Amino acid sequence: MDIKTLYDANINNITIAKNAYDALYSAFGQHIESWQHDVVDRLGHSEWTGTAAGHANTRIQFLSTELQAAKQELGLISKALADAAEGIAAAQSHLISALDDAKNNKMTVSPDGGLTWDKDPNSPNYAGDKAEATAKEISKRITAALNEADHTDQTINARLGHLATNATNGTGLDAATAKADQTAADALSQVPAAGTDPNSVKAWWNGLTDAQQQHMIQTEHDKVGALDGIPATARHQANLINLQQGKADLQRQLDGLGPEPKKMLSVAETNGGPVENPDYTAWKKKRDELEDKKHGIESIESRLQKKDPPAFLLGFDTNGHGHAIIAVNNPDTANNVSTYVPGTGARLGDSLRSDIERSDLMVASADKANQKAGDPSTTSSITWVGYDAPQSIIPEAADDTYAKNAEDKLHSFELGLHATHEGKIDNNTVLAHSYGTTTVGYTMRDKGLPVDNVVLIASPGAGVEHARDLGIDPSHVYAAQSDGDSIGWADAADPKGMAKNIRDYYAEIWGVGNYYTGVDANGVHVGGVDTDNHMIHGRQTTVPEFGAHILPTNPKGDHSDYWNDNSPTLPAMGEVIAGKPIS
Amino acid sequence: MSTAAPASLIRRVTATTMVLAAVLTLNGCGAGTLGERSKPTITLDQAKKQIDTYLTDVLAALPVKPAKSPGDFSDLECDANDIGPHGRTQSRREYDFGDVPPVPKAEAVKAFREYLTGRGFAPDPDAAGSRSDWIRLKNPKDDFLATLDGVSDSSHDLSLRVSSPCVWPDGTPPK
Repeated sequence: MDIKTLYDANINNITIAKNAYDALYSAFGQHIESWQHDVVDRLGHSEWTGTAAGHANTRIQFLSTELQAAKQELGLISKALADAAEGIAAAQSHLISALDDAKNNKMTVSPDGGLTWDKDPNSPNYAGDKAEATAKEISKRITAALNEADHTDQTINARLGHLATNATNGTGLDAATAKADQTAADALSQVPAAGTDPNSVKAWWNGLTDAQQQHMIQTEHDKVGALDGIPATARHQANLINLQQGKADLQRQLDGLGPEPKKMLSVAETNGGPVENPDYTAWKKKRDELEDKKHGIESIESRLQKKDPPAFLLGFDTNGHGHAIIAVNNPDTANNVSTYVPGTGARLGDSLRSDIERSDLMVASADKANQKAGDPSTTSSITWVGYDAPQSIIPEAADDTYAKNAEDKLHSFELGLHATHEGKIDNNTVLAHSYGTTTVGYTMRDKGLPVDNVVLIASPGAGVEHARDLGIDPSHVYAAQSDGDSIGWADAADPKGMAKNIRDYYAEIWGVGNYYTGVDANGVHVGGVDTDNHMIHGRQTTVPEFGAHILPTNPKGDHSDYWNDNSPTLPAMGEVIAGKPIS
Repeated sequence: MSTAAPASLIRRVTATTMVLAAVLTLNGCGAGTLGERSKPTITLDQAKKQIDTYLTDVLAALPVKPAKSPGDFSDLECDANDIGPHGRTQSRREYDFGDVPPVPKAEAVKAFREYLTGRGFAPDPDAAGSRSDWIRLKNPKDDFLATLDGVSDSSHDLSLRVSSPCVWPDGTPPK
C-alpha cells in the first residue's frame, strides 16, 4: 500500500458497508423467522401426509438448516468488515501522526516515502542538526504504518475471500462449515492455551490484524508474553507490562511486611536463653526473597536501557523463584540464534545479572568469529531462565526432577524460535552451564530439540552415555570442563557408575587393566588407561568415551570462569554459535 | 507398594551424600581461594580507567588505527556460580581495526609485543597454546590482560582488548 492510498482511505465507507451488512443480517434473520412461522410451522400443522409430504418436510428442514448457516456466514462478514475498519483506521492514524511529525520538523515526504529537508543552517526552514536521525525515525514509522495496513488488508482479504467462496459455491449453506467458520472467528478473540503448538500459535497471531494484536498485548499481556509462537517484539511489549506490574506487586509486598520485628528473644521470654525471634526469622526470609527478586528486575531494566545491542524480554514472571527470558538482539531476525540455559541458582534474582552478561559476551564473541571470517551474519543469544532451576547444591542439584520438569518448556521454546523466525535460522545452538546441561541433555534425550549444536559447559552429566544419544549429529556436540572446576567432584551416585569409577581409580593407581583403544570425536586414535568417569547425572561429557568435541579451557579456571577474558572457552563458544570452525 | 520408591530414595540419599562429600572437600580446598577473593582490590572505576590508559598507550604504539570508536565497557560478574564471596566484577573494552592487510598486521603484532613486554607484560601462562589466533600478554604486577585478537593471516578482523582482573566494585568486599 502506498502513502496516498492509506492517507486517503475513507474508513467511514468500510463502516457504512459493515452497517449495511448488519442491516442485511438482521433482515435475513427476520425473513428466516417469517419463513419459519409462515411456511414451516403452518405446513407442520397442515396435517399434510403421504410420500410427497414426507419428501417436502425433509427438504424444508434441510432448507431451514441452510438458511441458518447462511445467516451465520453473513454475521462473520460483518465482523470481518468491523475488524477491517478498526485495523485500517489504526494504520491510517499512525501514518498521519508520522506525517504530522515530519511537517513539524520542517521535512517534506515524497509519495514514495522519501524525506527531504533544508540543510542550510542560515535558512529559515533549516531542519536542525539532528534532522537525519529524526528523518530516519519518521521514515521507519511511515514504513511500519504502511506494513500495518498491508497486513490488515491481507488478513481481512483472506477472511472475506474464504466467506465469498463459501457463498459462491454453496459451502456456506453447510451447517458444519458455518460452525467451523464461527469457531475460527471466535478463536481469533482468544489467546491459545499455554502449551499449544507454537506453529498453531503463530498462525493464530498472523490471523489477527495489527490493531487486534495490539489489543491482545494490552489486555492479555500475561498470556501473550509467555506464549511460544508469538513473535519476539510482541512478547517483549507484553512482558514490559508484566515487568512493571510484577515490580509494583513486589513493592506492595515489601511495604506490607511491616516493621522489622526484634531480632532476639530475651532469656525471660524464652525461659532458657537468648534465641532468634521466629517472627524476625520469617520476616527476614520473606524480605530477602522479595529483595532478591527486585535485584533480578533491576538487572533486566538495566539491560533493557542499553540499546546497542538491543535486548528483548521474552518471558517474565515472579512465580516461585521467578523466571525471565532475555534475548540480546532479536532472535526472529538474527541469522544465528543461541539459547543459554544456566544451572543451579538460576532465577529472577541476584544471579540474573551474570546470566545476562554471559549472553552479551557470547553475542560479542560470535560477532567476532563472523567478522574474522568476513561474514556479516548477526547473532542473538537468549538467557533462558524459563524453568525452575535447583537453588542449592545440596540437596537440590543432586535431584534430576528439576531437569525433568523443564523438558516441555524448553522443547516448546525451541519450537517457538523456529516458528517465529523470519526465514530459516542459519545456525541454532543450545548452550548450557552446570545443571543447565542436565536440563538440556534430558530434554534432548526425551523430547529432542530442533538445534544444530549443543554446548555442554561444566556438566554434572547430561543423562546420556554418549553424544549420539542427544539426537543430533554427535560431531555438533561440544563439551568443556577445566581441570580446576569443582564440578569434577560431583561424582556418580548410581551403584553402577560408582563401581565403574572405583574400578578405574584403582586401575589407574596400580597401572593395570582397563586399557582401552579407540577413536575420539576428532577421528584421532587414542589409547591409555581408561579415563571414563560417571558423574551424578550421567557420564562425564568430556571423557573420550562420551564422544563430544572438547572445547579449550583455562586449566586453572573454576566453575564460573568459562566466560572470563582469560578463558579460551568464550571465543570457542562464539565460533560454535556462529557456525565457524574452532580456532 | 513397588520397590521403585525405596530404590529412588536410596539413589537420592546416595547422591546427596556424594555431593555433600564433594562440597565439604571443595570448601576445605577452597579456603585459600576464598581468602584470596576476599581481599580488597582497586575499584571498578579505577579498573576501567586503567583499561583505558593501557588501550591509549598501546594504540599509540601500534602502526594501525581503529576503524571506529570503542564500544562500551563490557562487565562480567566473577565467581557467580562458585562458593562466594560474590560481587567481584571483571571489565573489558575493545578497539576494532577491521580487515588489516598482512604486512601492517605483522607490524602491529611486533609492536604490540615489543611495547607491552617493555612495560613488564609477559605471555599469559594460563592461555598458552590454547588458541592460535590471538596473542595475550599479562601484567604480573596488576593482572591486567591485553589481547591482540585475529592475528592469523586468514582473519578478516583485528582487535585490541584489555581486561581487568576481578575487582570489588567499591574496592572492598561487602561486610
